Amino acid sequence: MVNFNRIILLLVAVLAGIQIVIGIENCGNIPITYYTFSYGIFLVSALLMLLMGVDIIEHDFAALAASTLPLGFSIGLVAAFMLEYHLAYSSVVSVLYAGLIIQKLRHQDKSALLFQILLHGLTGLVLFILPIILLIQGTVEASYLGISVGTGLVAVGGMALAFLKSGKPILTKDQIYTIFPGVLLLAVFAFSVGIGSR
Amino acid sequence: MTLISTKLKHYWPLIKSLQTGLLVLTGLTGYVSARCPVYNLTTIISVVGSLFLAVSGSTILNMVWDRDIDAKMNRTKLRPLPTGLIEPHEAWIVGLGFSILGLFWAAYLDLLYALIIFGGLFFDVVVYTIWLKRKTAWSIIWGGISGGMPILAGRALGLGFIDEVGILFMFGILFWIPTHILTFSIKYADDYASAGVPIFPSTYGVNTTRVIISVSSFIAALSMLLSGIMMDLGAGYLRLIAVLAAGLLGLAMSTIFTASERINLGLFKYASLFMMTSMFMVILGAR
Repeated sequence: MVNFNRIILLLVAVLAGIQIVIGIENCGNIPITYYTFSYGIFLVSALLMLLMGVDIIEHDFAALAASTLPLGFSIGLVAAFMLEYHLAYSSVVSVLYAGLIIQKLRHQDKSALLFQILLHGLTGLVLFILPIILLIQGTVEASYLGISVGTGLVAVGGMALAFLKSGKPILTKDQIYTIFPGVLLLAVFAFSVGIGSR
Repeated sequence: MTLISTKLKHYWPLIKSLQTGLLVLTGLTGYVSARCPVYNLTTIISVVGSLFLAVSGSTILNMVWDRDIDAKMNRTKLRPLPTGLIEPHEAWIVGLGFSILGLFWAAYLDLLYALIIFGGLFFDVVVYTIWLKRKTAWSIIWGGISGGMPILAGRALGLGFIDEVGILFMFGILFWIPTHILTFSIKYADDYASAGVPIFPSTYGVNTTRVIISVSSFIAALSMLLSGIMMDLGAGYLRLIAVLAAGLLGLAMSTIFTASERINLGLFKYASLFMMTSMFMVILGAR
């Protein structure tokens, strides 16, 4: 791994760490828990890539952990703005995530993929659309759209990896590994701007 | 001047600067955790100085005693003592001198503080190195206890007595050390075998060792979190320690299910990072 990418990964870890310590302090107890969870995924992933190399993200365990990133942010967002739907929404995504884990453990790749598509589709949609709706309603500032931008960036990174794993890469492995730390940094920055701006 | 710089160059690897630095940091953390905000620079310098001398001294004594083992292991055979760059009797004098100086400096600060540091020295040099290291794999428990002494000493210096937070801090280090050392001993199991040193992987098997690593990681993480809660650490700092602890536990458990040399080494590095960051969080979040 080139030194530049090491610095980028360190920045991802530091930025995510700062968000966990002080960046989400005013978000309310329930959202803080979920945001901590997702920023924690950013932080630990960056550290593991730093210590073991970017290709560690191809590890099955890492893929399962990474799936929880949009899950935490989206439940946190729902808890922050639509508290009455929090229980229902968190139950649905938890069931989908449990299904994904079970099918992965049973090596049922096709049904695992179905759970993954449903999970990422639902959480991604909530994360992308909800900030836009809140902005239109005048509930949040424009910078809250950072969450939508961050979601888009995570989706780009996730899709690049998914195509790579499926054997039909849109970019070469080296290209993906080169840009991945940068995408992560932009994503964590966008989420920080969004969540911190309320 | 050249002689001094050559000696310094030879003695630097003998004090295991990273390990010593981390232990000094834990001692400083223990002190700051009890005395924040710290305005007395002289005390800070004294804590760092006394711990540096005592820990370096015991590490040098350990190296002198184990020079025959080091000569048989590929990883350590190029150290200054097995290669003859430093004479053993000279290293004895330096090691002993550092230890005594460190203890006197500590005693000048506070007797309880000095007594705990002496306990660490005694457990490390006499119990761990001289008595048990060549006899049983369980010797690392005593090495772990001595590793937990600086943070306990620092906390006791700040408070004037030993409290439950200090004990928990010590447990955090004690159970972190197996994660640190056992991952290392898995990697260099052949080396230890050739030197005839009993270690967990050769005595109980690699799989059992990985389970022990996971359990000790869990206890270390729990101890750090509990001590943070009990000392009323800021919520944000606690959250960060919890996140890093979860990462440590996840990584330790993943070595059980998908064992590989790479993940094992990753865990070794992550464990150090976890402890160092936890210490900084306690320093920053203490109030």
